[in-house]
Amino acid sequence: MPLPLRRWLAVAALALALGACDFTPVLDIETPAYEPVAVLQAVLAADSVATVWVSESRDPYGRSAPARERAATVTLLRDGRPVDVLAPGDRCPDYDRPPNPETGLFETVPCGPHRGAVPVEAGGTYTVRAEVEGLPDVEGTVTVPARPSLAVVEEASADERERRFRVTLTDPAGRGDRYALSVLRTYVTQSCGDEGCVEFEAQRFPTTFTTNDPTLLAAARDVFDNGLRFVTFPDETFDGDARSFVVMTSQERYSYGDSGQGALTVQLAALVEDVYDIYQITYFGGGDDNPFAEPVNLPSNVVGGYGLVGAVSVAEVAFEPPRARVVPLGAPAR
Amino acid sequence: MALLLGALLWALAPSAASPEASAAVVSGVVTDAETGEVLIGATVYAPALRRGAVTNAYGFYSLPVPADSVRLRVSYVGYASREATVDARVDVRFDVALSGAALDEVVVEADEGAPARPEDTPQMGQVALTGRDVRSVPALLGEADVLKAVQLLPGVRGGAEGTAGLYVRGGSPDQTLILLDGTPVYNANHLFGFLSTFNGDAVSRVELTKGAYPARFGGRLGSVLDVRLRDGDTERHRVQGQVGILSTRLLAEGPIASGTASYLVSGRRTYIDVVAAPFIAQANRESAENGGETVDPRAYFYDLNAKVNWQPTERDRVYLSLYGGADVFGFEAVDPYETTVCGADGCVRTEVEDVTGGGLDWGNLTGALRYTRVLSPRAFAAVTLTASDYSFDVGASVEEGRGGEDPALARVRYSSGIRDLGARLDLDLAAGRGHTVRVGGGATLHRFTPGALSLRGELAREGIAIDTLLGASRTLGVDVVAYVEDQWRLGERVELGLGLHGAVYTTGDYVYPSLEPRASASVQVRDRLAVKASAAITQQPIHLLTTGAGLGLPADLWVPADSIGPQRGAQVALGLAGSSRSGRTTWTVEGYWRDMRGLVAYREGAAFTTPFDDWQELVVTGDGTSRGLEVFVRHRTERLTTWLGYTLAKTDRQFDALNGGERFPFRYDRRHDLSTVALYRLSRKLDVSAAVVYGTGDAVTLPVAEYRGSGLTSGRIEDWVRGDGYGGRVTAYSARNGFRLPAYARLDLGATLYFRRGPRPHALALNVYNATNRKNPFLTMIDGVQDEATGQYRDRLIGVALFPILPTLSYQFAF
Repeated sequence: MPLPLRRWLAVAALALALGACDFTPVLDIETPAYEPVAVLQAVLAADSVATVWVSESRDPYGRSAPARERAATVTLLRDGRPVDVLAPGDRCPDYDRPPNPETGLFETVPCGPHRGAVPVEAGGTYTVRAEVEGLPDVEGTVTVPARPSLAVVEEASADERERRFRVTLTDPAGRGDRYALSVLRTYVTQSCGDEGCVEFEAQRFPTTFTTNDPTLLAAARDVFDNGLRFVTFPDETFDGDARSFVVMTSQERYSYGDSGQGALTVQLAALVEDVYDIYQITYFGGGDDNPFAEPVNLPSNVVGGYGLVGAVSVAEVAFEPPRARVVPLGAPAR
Repeated sequence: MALLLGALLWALAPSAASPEASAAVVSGVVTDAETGEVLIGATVYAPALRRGAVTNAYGFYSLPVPADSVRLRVSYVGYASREATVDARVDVRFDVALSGAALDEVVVEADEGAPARPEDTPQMGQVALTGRDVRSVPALLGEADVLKAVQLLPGVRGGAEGTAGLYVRGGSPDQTLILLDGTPVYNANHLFGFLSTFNGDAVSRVELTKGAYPARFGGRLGSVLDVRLRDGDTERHRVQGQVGILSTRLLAEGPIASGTASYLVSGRRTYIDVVAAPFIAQANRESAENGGETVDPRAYFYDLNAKVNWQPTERDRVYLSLYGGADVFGFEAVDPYETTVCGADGCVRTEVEDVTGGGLDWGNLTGALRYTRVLSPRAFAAVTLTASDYSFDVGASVEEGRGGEDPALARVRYSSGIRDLGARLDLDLAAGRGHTVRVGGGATLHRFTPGALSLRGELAREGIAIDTLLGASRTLGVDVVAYVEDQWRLGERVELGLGLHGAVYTTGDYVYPSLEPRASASVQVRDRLAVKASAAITQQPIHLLTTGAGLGLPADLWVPADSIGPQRGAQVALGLAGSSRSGRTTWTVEGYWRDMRGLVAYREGAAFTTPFDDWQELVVTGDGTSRGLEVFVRHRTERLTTWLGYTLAKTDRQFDALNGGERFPFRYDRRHDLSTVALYRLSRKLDVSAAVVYGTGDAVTLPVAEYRGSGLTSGRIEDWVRGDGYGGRVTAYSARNGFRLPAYARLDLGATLYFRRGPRPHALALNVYNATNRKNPFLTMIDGVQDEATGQYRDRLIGVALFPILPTLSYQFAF
């Protein structure tokens, strides 16, 4: 065997020997250092009091218990001046820890949102500030959108099971508001027994509607049961325009306890950009559940922490349903 | 077309105005003496005139000289050069056949003064590899691979570990125009990107132009990879092949008519499925005997190249080049069982089965028919018709109770593809006065099928049947181009390369015209040293929507620029080029800057799996920049071929709708990238080779925290305000691509032991991929681990290395 060949084989054998030590395919990768911070979640609504959830972030690699609500001092400021100190939320038993051996009772921890007492005004700029023990202070600032201009007129329909509404909305140019349109029906449930029927507290839920308007159809990615439930629009859809279109709805029922008697409300909400974006990402994108998508950072305006202080402003027009138009139970929705 | 005709008339008309216009032209074809195949990129040089020409893609050259006898030197790397004195008082045809080194064991390198030296051409960022180079580089799984070899050049890097994607100067893979014998190849990957579609045995030459690529190319933002297949031996029949652990390759070539027509056919197929078939069949038999499930897997790829070359006259040639290849992966599992069906006549037991299946198939078909003619000693023409078809299908199905009375079927299939038909005319004109002109034009019809989702479901008992096709719209696009290039020699020290590429891309109501100037210049500041500069404007009327993981999966979708608009780019480069006195060592140093506009990316959270009617709903547009400095040194001697490439680069992206609008690093931004290759002929029987690669780790996005989310998932404003639905987990990530994985490093070794050299070699090749067994992460994931001290579980971030040290043996033969 020639000398150069032996040399080369020796080098190759050495490389093989060096390389053959560890055949496990896994290597540890150092991760960024973790520091816990406070999390704020709030969507302020014009003419409503503030509801703010405060919690604490956790180490994504730590497998710690799910972050719970934190007791905090939460202040609402308007244009930098305090206008409200939010009351702490409820307290619930902490079942993650053993009960007190003497009393046998579980300790209580915060388990609900902080609530304000002063209604928020449309057009105002508000800051939610939270002081959480052991964590840096956090705050988020948002300007509540002006109330959207909405006019709704009911039109005659050839189909008595169908109701038609001509909706006109006017969007001031350049303000950057996004919109969400829905038709809500008041949901009244009844429970009937030997002593008669009892109606429970009414709630409003989006009901299915349809339209032939190309703008709505182009924006409507959230088709539900061959109809629309909740349609969101980017700013450029209506920017500076007054748009008029017709939506049709039939009175579907949610359950067998549903009386089908509730009022119909056409609701238009002006949304700030972050709220719109988060809805788009979480509802349509699949977020973290899509293995083929790039990781998504949800928009956040919370300084010093995570979460969002968003805002909406709602305009509504309600219509009482004529009893004659109540659809018999089980009739197909159009 | 007026441009073409004008240039043609200019070239063919007598140019009496210049003294040199009346000079003679030496033209001809340079071929391999043994096989008769044309040699692309061979140099024909007149030392006394300090002037030369390079053969084009068809081996043709045209060199204007003063009307006198002239001494010419013809050389090509790996071949013995030839010198001859040519009587050039009139136009003369001078065909040259060079003898390959393999015949006489002598490799003649680039000669002093030969124009192959980088300082003698204004073109920047251009590197050529011969088929022999490609076959000599140590290879993953022993499979000589064009794209893997190209990844070892400066300014080029691959994607994930082991994959064959090309990221050239910070561009994404779609920004490199990959041509196989002049036909675009849209997906050059086999086996999920671990191998390219090019069969190394059939490749004649690979030329990568990274910077301001010549005006005859277009339609891509960044670079051109021009792969030329061999024409086939016109003198004798030959069969060669390789048996490896992954696949077997076979190539047959020979004359159809001696000296005038030849064929070349090559094929490659993996056979893991064939080898495994008896074992799977046995396992299925045993399982079936016990009433269990049987599985029928499919996993293979193949490719076929065929080329016919016919030279009916000395001036005419016809080529027909075909390629077909596909990857097929899938399975079908059948689970039989008995069920009882009761009717009016009582109950009976029936055998039924549940069948589940899935598949992932993709493939390319390309064809090129080309006619070339030497119109005159000054003019060469090529007319080319091309066709290509790339298709991708992924599907899954579940069928329950097949054979019974109440079967249920659910089937989903996703398809996409792109089909092209093209025609073009190219003219090479030695125009005199120091001008070498190329003009041409053509048109391509594209048919895009961005993504069709077919859903089928049947429930027999309920009488429900669904058969729906979503997103199946096809889009047509027409690309009409014309170009002119002029390589203009101004005196002995200055050479300019000027070009203009005009294109009009039309799809539906959208028309995107572009005028793309290309310019390069070389100034010889002293012997064997030149300062070079280049600039280019480019437009790309098609986009590639890539999956987030960037693995070069075939699911990447090609889509046309319509309402989204095309990509537009500009790049400039400045550099030095030189060589040693012997010409054995050449070097270049180039700095570049690229600006990319109109890039597309999936919007936050979206991917190809997101249902859509129009792909435009899923994307956002943005910009990118890339700048870097590349150093490339190549040294060739009789025994040694080696090169070293180093790149210092920074590449980033900016999308208003991504990363909060902040600029972020490109995933494959690599600050430092070093690769060096050495191919050494140790003895008459043994060749050895080594390659070392080192690079900064990939830029990735990692979780930095988790928190409880808002209630903005329901479609009810009241829920948002009250925070109902609050509590879902949200992960907060670092800034996009804000974290670096460990550096990438790899040592590959190779050795080929020849039992017989020459034109019909027999050899045993040993390749050791990743000889130091370094764990280069192919992907990252979160994994749970128990702390030994506390017993507590916690998560950790791990990288999974796909390829540990991987020795492979293969046997190469020819007869």
